[in-house]
Amino acid sequence: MLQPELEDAVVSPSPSLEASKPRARSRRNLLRAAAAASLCAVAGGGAAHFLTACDEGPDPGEFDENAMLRQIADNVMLPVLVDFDTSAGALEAAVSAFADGPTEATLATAREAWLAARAVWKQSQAFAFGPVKGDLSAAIDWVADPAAIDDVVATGGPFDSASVDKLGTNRKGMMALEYLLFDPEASDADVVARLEGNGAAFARALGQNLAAKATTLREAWDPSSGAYVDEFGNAGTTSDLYKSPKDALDALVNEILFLADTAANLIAAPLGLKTGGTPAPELEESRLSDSSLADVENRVRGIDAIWEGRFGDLDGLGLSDMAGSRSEALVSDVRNAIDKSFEALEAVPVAMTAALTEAPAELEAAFNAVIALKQIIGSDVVTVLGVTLTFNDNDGD
Amino acid sequence: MTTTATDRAARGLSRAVDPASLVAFRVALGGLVAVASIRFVAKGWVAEHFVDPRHYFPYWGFEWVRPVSASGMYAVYALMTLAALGVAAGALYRVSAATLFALFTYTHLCDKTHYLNHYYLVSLLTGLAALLPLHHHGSVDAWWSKRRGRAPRAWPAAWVLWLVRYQVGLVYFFGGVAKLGPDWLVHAMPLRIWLARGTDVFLIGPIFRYEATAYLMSWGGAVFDLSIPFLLLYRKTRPFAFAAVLAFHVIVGRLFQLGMFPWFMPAFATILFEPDWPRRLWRGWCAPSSPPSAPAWTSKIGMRVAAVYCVVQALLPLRFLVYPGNVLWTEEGFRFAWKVMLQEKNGVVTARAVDRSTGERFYVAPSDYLTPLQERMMSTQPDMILQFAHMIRDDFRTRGRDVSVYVDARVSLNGRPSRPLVDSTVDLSNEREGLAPKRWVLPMPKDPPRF
Repeated sequence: MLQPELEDAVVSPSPSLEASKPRARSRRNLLRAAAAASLCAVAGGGAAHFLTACDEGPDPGEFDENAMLRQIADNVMLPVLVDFDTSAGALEAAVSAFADGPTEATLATAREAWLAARAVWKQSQAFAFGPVKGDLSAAIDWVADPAAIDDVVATGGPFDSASVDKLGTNRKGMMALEYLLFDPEASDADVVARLEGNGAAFARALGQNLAAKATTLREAWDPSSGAYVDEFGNAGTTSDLYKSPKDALDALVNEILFLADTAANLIAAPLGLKTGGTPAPELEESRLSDSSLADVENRVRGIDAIWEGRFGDLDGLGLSDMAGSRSEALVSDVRNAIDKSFEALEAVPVAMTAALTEAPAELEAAFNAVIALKQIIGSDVVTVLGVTLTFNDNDGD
Repeated sequence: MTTTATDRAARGLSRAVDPASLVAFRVALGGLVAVASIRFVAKGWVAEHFVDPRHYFPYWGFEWVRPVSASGMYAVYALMTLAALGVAAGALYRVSAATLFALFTYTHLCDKTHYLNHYYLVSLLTGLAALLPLHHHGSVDAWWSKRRGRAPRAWPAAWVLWLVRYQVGLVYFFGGVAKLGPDWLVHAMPLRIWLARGTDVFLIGPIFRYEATAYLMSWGGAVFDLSIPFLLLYRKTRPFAFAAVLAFHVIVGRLFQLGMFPWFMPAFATILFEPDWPRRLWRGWCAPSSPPSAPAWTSKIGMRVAAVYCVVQALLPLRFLVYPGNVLWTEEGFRFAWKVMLQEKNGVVTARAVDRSTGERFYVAPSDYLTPLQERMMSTQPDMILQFAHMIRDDFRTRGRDVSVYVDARVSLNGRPSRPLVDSTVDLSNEREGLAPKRWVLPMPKDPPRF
């Protein structure tokens, strides 16, 4: 704090401090004028607001972001994971039935169950944070190594969920099951014949393990056990992980942006867009089940669910409602981009493996549509919702 | 008449001034940069900024500046911290200050991804510190000199103090000038976006719900920046002005992730106080024994060099005026111009490489080359987009392909609908970086912000 008695005892007085009284008066007047100008400017700012705020929707501040996060958690996230748990349970049962009686019919049922579980799993990638990060995600869905799986089968077992737990991620999970259940090069009868014995037993263990992982994931979110749904849904109130609604929103929007990017890349890579146009079917995500295109579509479906706040019969607030509190035009633009992605994906007349050679133009159109969706999320949605892109703790400005 | 005024100004600037505020400034500068360097290492940014990336975005003319090895960069930061402490203590001052300036500037020349206005300010201030006699008093060097029986050094000339004041004041003033645009004043952008995200801030958060708050803060912020250097210089307004500085930086520090910025600026702003303010604050700090002395010939040369520096620093922030288009969109003349907190800009970039011989097309995702932070920063800045295109061209060249590179960049600025930032039909592999306007940058969209 400055000491008044020393205020005038300037060691090296400058000309300004030797000013005469009229000069001091002049400075005071200048100061008053500056203060008045400042007040006018601030008042002008307020006036400018009231004059320009004419064609806007509701005040963004009125939107209940906590309610939106809670409803997305309750109406989309948890139900998707419950559905995945149920689907994985059905897959376990179907694979067990196949193992008990390997026939083409039980194989077909197991394949259908695999595709159903796969579909909801890919939708859940729209919120692939929290408990699923790391080991759990890898145990459920990782690139399979056929030779390594053959080696495991060749050991003869015994196989159960616990023994599968000890295996590396390239020998278990959905993709290991896909390798066992699907073979586009072989007839169904050949697949059944190949799996009889050790193969079917291992498939059963894989199904059991996958179902256990799905249950673990669901329980981690369930309010009666891990209660991650409350961590996300109560961001900024009782949540320990998300100190503010913005933290949760940032996590969610970054995730759907990443998902759109992944979806586009999963078309680009096999189509050869990254390698000069030469198709590379080996880069398909789910080549054996020929469901790579469905994987892409289900990712977009996951984005759609978060955007609308809707899954199955459950419907509540979603990101679109928050965006709508700021810009109805953006809501319409994003809806349009999502719809165009679906349309472009559905316009591919055959599954991806065949489309790589038979319908590359349609596939590229689907790629472009998904890229457009990524662009609008990464630029407009992020801006309007005030989301911080790319988590890092670097400083700004 | 002019000659008389110039002479009077020269005489005034040659007058000796109490070095106390310059000593306080030196201690603050060195101390805070030392803390910033330690913080930088502790947060793991050495690896993130200098080791993890496979490509860098050097500044035009400084393409030769590259990070050294990982251990080398850690050594750079260790040395930088020591040099900063040396500056604070005034120990081996010239070597310490020159080393600090060289190392700090080097680390920030490596990659423009990490450009920050206050890093640039620190570079300038450490550069000035290396040249100015800030160590003649209140320093280890002065103490050592006294112990060896040498006479105390003369007080610095007033121009030394005013040069540092000018540099610090310029940050605020041009920060205010930059706010005199329609986005800031008419649309209250980007504050309307940012404040809406800060409604949970303790105590003041609820008022951010109102758009009027954004307008008041925008206009108030502009007035604050434009006037604060002058209000800090004037004795009667100084206490209120400094209280406003503290409040301003506490609020922006709480609202935004600004790191050391809210610490640097209030500390640096004290240079605008009376030269003897530290002596008044700490009465135990005895009056200097050295009498004022006449300026040496070096002071006269220094004054002329300082005048040139001041002119350059006044013109540099205005260079955007010679480029066509809105600087917030084109970013030509955006850096080194104190354009602080002016934009909420987000974009997505995709690129295509086309083999000139075979016509084969390659879709290129930025993540194939860049870290997430590099990708984010590149996506909205045309010069970095050009550098990214050249990265792709050079990479394909190493694989035996001669390619054209086309970039699709959609960018949203301050709440406007996203629009293409660059002409996606222009082969950027042929475009050269330089000071000339970038003709391939598309005009800023005329749309108003979405809300």
